[in-house]
Amino acid sequence: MIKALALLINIGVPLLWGVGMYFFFEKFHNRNNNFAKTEQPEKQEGSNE
Amino acid sequence: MSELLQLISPEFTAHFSGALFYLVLVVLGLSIGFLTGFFGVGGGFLTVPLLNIIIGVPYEIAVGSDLSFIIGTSSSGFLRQATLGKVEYKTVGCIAGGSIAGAVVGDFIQDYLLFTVAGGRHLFFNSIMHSMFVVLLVFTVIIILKQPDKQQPETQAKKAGTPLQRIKFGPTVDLDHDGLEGVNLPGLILIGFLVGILTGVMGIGGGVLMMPILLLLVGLPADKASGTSLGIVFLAATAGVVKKTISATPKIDLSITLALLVASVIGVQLGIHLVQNFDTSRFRRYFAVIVICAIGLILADLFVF
Repeated sequence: MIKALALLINIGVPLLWGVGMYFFFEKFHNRNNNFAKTEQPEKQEGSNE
Repeated sequence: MSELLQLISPEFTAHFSGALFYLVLVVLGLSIGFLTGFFGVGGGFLTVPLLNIIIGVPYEIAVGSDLSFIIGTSSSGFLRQATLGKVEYKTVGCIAGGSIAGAVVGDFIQDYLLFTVAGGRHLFFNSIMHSMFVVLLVFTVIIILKQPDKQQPETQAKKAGTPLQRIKFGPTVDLDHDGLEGVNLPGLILIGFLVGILTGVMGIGGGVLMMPILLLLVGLPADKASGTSLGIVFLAATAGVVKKTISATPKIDLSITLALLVASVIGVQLGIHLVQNFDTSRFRRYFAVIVICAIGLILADLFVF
């Protein structure tokens, strides 16, 4: 029972960290991308004119 | 409760204690993370010997804690590659089948080296592990410096078939949507098993070895090799952590794992930021110099100190 709990902690904690970091950076990355996407068309329109 | 604590944070005598122990650990985590961000390699082959030499973590605990650390780093990288569709799942399944078994066998080999060959004497066991790391790092330097351009293996594979396609005995498996057909299945499992043994004994994820294997021996396209390698490394490291947790002597210190994970995230971002200002054509040389420095440090610890 104790070993099963230790196993859960030894695998679960780093796994949660890894998955958490993925979602954190993915969200951060997507927010930057969305920002870039909304900014870009305005610039292109400007350059076409 | 104390029994659980012993299983996730076993006692040992390190070179540092208290806050200084964690401070050095954080500096090490930052450095390893920086290398990951800068060069795009896991750095497991540097973490374990440095944990032992600089901080004084016994090798068996350094290996276990590093495998737990690899679960955190590879899961994050694997998810990213998987969402981009850059993972060849059948290859992951075939090679990981061997590497999971290899990681478990590797832990038995480590126990054999520690308790039977070295008779439980850590000084002797350290010498054995140091020697194995020197051999592995020399091999790594050779791989890095001799690695051909990324496009070369793909064209070679299409012309004459990869070494695993040319093996005529045993069952074969078709991999990848780009038409990688007739790849030898026992060969894939054997490769996984051998790299898995290194994971279990030395705590290396095998990324540095797995990448050239996937490109040259298996013939995967370069864009799928990284994600596929991460999937294999993740499964092998998880198997290694399972074996090391249920082992008679606890071999994973979660506080080391967590300190490395937290510090390495910052280090990775620093590395990614700094890499944009560097000449990427000299990457291999830079990396080779770092690995050669690590070899020098291990040899100094082996013969001088």
